[in-house]
Amino acid sequence: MTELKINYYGMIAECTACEEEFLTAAKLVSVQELDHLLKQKHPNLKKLSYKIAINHSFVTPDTLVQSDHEIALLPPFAGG
Amino acid sequence: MEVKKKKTVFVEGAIMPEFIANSIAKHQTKTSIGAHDIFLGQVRADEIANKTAQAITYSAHTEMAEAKFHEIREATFEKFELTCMHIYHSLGTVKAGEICLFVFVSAPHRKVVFDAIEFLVENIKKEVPIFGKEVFEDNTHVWKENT
Repeated sequence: MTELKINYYGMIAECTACEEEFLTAAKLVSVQELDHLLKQKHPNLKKLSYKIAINHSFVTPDTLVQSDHEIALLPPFAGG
Repeated sequence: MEVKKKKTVFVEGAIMPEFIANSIAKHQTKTSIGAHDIFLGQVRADEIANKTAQAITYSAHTEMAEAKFHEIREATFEKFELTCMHIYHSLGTVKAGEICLFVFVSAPHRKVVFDAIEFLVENIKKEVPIFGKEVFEDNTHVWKENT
């Protein structure tokens, strides 16, 4: 079992109605599997565009996420 | 590599014209500089579905954004012969007509500052996790997306 902490930003936080939450996965999961779990929990995420950053970087979908990772769902950027 | 102190980019609310003027004034002692270039991002009153945006409320993954700004700064210094560089971006609410981004580069000669400012602004827009919602007069909003 791994407990993961997920951070949501901008329109993603609006969609999930929270800025952070914990998710318990039965096994080690990859970024892609995590994304799938999150879309099951929050079906509206399927309609949105976002990227998942692990420890501030964008990694390949098969990267395994660990409980000490900082996981962030980032919607499209709008700076400037 | 030389260790440089990380600078803070984010300011709460709009960037004031007086702040920009002061920043220019501070460079008058740096007499090796012969050219400055400044980019100012201003909040536009976008019209969407017959409603006019009154403001943009900015939020960010601040830690990642500061790290990205630092990375972009370093890459710009690496690429261009600049004397100095300053970047400020707003967080929170900035009304239409107010300034939300202030980028300031200086060098001995003009050519390099034109190229550097474009490189900087384009990278900031593309790489930094900043999010903005355009708020209308009836308090509804849409999320903005850089193109």
